Amino acid sequence: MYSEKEKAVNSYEILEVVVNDSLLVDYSSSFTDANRFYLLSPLSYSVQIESNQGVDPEESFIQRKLGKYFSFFEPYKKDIFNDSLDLPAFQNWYKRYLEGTIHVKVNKLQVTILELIYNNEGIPELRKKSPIVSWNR
Amino acid sequence: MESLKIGGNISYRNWLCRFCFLLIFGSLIYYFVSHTLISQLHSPVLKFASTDLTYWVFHIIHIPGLISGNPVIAVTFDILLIGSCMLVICFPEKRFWARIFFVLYFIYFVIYNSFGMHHVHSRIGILLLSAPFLIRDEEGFVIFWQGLRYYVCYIYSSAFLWKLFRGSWLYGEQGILIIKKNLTPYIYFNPRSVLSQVYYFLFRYPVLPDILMKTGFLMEGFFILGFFTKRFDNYLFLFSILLTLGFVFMADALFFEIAFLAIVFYKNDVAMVYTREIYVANP
Repeated sequence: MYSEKEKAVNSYEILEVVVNDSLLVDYSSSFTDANRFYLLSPLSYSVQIESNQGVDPEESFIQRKLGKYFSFFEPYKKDIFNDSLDLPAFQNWYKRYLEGTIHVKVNKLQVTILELIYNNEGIPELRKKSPIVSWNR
Repeated sequence: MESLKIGGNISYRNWLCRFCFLLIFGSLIYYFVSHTLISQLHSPVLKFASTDLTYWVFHIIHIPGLISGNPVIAVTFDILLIGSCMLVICFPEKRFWARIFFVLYFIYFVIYNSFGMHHVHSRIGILLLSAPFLIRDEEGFVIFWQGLRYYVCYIYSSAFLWKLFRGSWLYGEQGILIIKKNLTPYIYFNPRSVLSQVYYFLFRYPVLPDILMKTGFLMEGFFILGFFTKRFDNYLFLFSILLTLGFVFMADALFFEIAFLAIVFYKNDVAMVYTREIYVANP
């Protein structure tokens, strides 16, 4: 693990998840490792799909690698890759999974990217907030 | 053929089987508590087959969606998964339940990784740990178990070699950057916790995370000795546990399933006596 040399970065981006305008979902400490994985990883991937113009980043990657041979995937594209049409269903799923995990009815969900920088004392400070999603039931 | 007895009537293999599946049962309880059994996933939508042919086949024939998308099938699947594990613990001499468990866990493994949108490596530990118990004959089991020991040596020593040849072990900031990459959400959301104070301390003295990183790197390298001798297996057992704790501390990643594999280094003298017994019985 982490055999590759890590790149030094100026800032770190993390996700902030707020339920019903008041409840901060602290996925970093209030959940088990596996639970956090399911709260965070699919959400991050949905953000990547949105920022990739609704195309699954994995599809773009394989298309780039295979070139003209990508046509092999055409009949199976829907089975293997996601697209922008999956995102509304994903939002409903995320609410369902979150409700099952935190045992609170989710009427509103806000997801924000927080850009943090470490100060000289090694404490992360907020530099920028970029709201990316606000879902209402 | 008589097999080596431990504490009366339980053969070494059955004792080992029970112990391993008790660990696996504990992990299934952890998955339940973590809301990550199939029925607790609430029919996930996004999938991630990555560039893995196994996952492509699974998704093309709709196995993950079929199992996770139907609540009745999902609950039945979970009951069978946990039930087969319990039956192996109760009847370790019956290979049938171990084989059923292995197939079900493999399907669970693919579904979990597919809908988690990342192929988590650590859960392979459960598949590896249960595999030797699928073997019917005693001799085959011993060979498989010893083979698993070498494979665990390979897991850690290859991690060492990757770091060695990529030169990341020479990079003084590797440790601190790994911590920041993975622990920033924790530190930001819990700035006053004791653990955050520990990380602030490490950030003030970057040489400390570097020492931790290099210590882990050397521990991984120690596993190369495991290919040539079993004299250091007690250390390898200890290092398997320590490295897992190190991953939690440095990378916020709980690889306890890989830590389970430490058992292949435990009491290898008993395993060797067992092996000798089998070869004496079947020269």
